[in-house]
Amino acid sequence: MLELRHVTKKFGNNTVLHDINLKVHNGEVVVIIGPSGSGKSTLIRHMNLLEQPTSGKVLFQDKIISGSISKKAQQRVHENIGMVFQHFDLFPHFTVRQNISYAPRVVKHLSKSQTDRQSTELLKEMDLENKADAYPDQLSGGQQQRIAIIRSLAMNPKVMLFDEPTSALDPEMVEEVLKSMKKLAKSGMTMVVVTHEMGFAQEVGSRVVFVDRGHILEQGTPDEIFHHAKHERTKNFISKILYT
Amino acid sequence: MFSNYSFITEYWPLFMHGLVTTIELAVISIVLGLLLGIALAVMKMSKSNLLSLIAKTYIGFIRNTPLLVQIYIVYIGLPQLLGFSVNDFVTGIVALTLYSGAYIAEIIRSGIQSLPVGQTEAAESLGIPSYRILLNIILPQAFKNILPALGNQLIGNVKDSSLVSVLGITDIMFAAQTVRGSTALGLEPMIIASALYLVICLILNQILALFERRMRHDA
Repeated sequence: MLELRHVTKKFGNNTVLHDINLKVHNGEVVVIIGPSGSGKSTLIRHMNLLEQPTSGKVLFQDKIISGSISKKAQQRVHENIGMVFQHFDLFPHFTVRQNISYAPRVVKHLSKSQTDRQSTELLKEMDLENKADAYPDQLSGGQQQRIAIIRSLAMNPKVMLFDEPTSALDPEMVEEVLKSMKKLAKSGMTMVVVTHEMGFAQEVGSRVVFVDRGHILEQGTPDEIFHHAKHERTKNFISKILYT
Repeated sequence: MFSNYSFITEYWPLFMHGLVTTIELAVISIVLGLLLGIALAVMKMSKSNLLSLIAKTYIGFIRNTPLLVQIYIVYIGLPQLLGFSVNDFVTGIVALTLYSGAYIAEIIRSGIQSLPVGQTEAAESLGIPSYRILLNIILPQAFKNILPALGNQLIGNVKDSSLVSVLGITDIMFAAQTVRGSTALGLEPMIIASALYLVICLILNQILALFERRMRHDA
């Protein structure tokens, strides 16, 4: 469904990604792990046009989406690939409902009654229905991030990207966000998740990808990566993050 | 020297007319300057090098030349450019708009750049068209941050508008000059003029403070 083909990314003289090849199949939950600064975020940002590869290609549903593509093609990518960010990035001057409904209204031209119904339904699923008229700064970080997930889901995407969705949260709020993500994974959503939550990776990941210094060092099932890693660096990273 | 204010009764209507004109000049030029400023700010930040260069050059020119010179350039240049003569009031508005637009552009640019880049990225990733990101997501937030600076610019426009009296626009300054000419009084008309400017600016300051407080309470 999503594919990075020989993607290399340089910022100036600094090569952040080296010849990355990665395929995400329909229904998969691909979890990307690795040390800070290894290029995980840059990698996932290539999947929805926030970064352009210096060389190589990005494909969505077998069509090239990197390089200069038409407005219409960009639109198709944005409508089908949702993204959740580390800092939620809700629109602070919109209420929760407006945050959720704005894109479906202006991009998909749904009517107000349609988006109202949809946002109520999504909020109910996340147990946030009483927050519809609140402003983001009246909500906890965990609630904000779940609203951000709903905001993306309201566009009915085929793939959801998560870029360290729990890294900016207080520890007691991490769980509620992970729970929402697990629910989403169970519903069959194709997901790519950059995270340091190894529990999530083990439990939900259909594949775990270890990125180190801009390379995909190895990938496999959670069991293969967490218990039978081939590379010393992978083992080191995992033991460090699991047992400290 | 400070006792002879009997001219006031006779010339009060002239001063009041001037007061209205000054307010009109300031308000119209700030509104048009805001539109010009938004356009210039967007151009300056645009990915197109040409647009960015045009905006940069324009802003640099305005900021580094005196307003009085700019007023004369518009006064002489605008009719030549258009091919017909232009009413003095319009000339004054054009000059003040061109002037304040450059400053407002810088205010808006700093307001936009102070927002987290995540706002744009989140909106882009939802497929929201870029003009809507600017109008509905970025500008409303930026505007809230820059309101104090815009208020200062409005007050600046009130005071700077005194310079367009050289064109014969009957603003406060023009009224004061007229009284000086016809009464041979030196200081007193200027004292009245400064009092009127002071009153406008103090009232504006109060209104702006009220606005800011209200904005802070919202959301």
